[in-house]
Amino acid sequence: MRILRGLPSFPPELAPCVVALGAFDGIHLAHAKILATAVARARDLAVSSVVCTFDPNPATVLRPDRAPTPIATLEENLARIAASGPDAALIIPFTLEFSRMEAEVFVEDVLRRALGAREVVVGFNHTFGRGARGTAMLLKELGDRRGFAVHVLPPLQVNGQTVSSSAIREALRDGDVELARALLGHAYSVKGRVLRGAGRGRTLGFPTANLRPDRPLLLAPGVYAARATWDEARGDAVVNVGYRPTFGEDQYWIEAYVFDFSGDLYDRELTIQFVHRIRAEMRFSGVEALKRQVAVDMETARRLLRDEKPGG
Amino acid sequence: MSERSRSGILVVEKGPGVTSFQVVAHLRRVLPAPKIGHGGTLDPDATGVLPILIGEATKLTPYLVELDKEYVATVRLGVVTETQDLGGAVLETHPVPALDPPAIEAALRRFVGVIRQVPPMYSALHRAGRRLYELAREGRTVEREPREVTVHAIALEAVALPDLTLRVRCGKGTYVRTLAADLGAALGCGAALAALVRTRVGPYAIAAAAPWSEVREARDGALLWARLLPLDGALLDLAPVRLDPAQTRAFAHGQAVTLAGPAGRVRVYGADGALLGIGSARGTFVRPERLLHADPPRPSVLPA
Repeated sequence: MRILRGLPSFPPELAPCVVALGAFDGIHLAHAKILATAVARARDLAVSSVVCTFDPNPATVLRPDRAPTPIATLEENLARIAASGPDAALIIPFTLEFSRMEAEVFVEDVLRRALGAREVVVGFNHTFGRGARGTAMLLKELGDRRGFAVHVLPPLQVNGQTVSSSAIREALRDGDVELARALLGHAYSVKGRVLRGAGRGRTLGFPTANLRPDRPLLLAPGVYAARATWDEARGDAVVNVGYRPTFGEDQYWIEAYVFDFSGDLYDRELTIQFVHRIRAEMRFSGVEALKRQVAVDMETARRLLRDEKPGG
Repeated sequence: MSERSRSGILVVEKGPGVTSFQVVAHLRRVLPAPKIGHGGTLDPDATGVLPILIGEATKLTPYLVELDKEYVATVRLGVVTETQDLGGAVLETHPVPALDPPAIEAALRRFVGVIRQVPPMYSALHRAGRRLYELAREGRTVEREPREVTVHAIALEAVALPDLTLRVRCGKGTYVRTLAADLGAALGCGAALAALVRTRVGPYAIAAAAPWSEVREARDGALLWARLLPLDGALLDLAPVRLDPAQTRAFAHGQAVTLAGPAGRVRVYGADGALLGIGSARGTFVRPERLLHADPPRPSVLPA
């Protein structure tokens, strides 16, 4: 998959193409379906398949005060997009100036003229153009007139719930990583470099890796059963997400205790995939009470992850 | 931003019995916009798409009349009238032969392509400083030169003799009434237009138009502003060009800018993404043909 940043970098030889259009944060099951549909249609038509997306997420530019916390980083999204097999991902820098482009103009000048869209695949709720006037319906209408087909994918239901980035964000804010995983089709994960912490875990008898996360906190603070991967290795872990209330710090941290591992993780890039929630963050009367609870948490995590095997 | 400075296109579905100008007059009362016009007259009895141009959009009138139109026409066979529609005095009646669709379609094919039409006496065309319909009302008939018009397609949608329903896609200046009368002559029985619905003007389809009933009831702009369409939408057939900040300033002041790219009429955007107007590109120059002072950028909002 070629990664193209900015419309001017779109090479003419990629036209004509089938375009998958969307903000694509998190690449959940409905996104995956849009991507797969676009790739399949492109194969049928023997043209290239192009994923057209935006960075940063348009909402971040348009209403910064209410911008949703991203589920995944651009790099992670691109890696998942690549897994669907399109020929290219075009990332349009979403600026205020770009946001003023009328919906009709986006369709005509970007999709049709620049990309040579033969067909466009979108989710039912995708909006585009100035004032978000561009809807799937308008896109269909313009397609009829300007000579391209539009596939609008209907809402996708999983366990009676509509798959959407906002539903996933809400699940994560509730700490419901199981639901988030069901809607995403993969576990919610966070990456971070392992920094030197206060060394407190070590003194408590369970050395933890302290991650400086690569994205703002979306997940409810609490204790989770997780899988950790770094370099070529992996391990099960119990993970604390939060502000470490017992020690009165307000820096958000992810602390991972990786089972059956005694090496050194400092400075490594660790990816934490959240599999189950164990409990909410709580304040302990003292170090002993904390140690007792951690022991219980570890047992719970081991059991949950063992029951899950060999998944992940 | 003040409502007075807003510009855009309001697509109205005109009702029967109201003139295009009455629609404009009503909107001039309701909207505070300084300039309101329409983009192509629709006969009083005809219904359907009437684009209303508001503010700076009035400058687009010459471009709007160029747009292709689509009509659904009901043609009554066996009758010839003075006005070519059923509103005029009947001049002749003829028995209607038992025509089958292939025979009608064969006759229709002669009216597709670049065809010549003698404009009706009852038309708004000028002759010696007077409207043809004024002369016609005085009982006078004058010689008219046939005009070349383009009919892109005619589809026979229904046959319920003596009526035919046709869907006609045509270029500017085409009289559907005349098309009906000429078709009647070709079929040997005469015909007049019984009903006409304009289903599309360029990008503006009847499905997305504001019904006249709604527009008529509007007491202020609130509902209507929400339906306002951007000027760009009428100009999508023109190639877009984007200017840098220095070129933007020059163009907005009416100066030609040096820019290689498409030739002919172009849609010109400024450095901030706003539509500056229509340019005429030749060689390495883009000359302003019509400058627009469209809405200043307004904050964009996503639906929650």
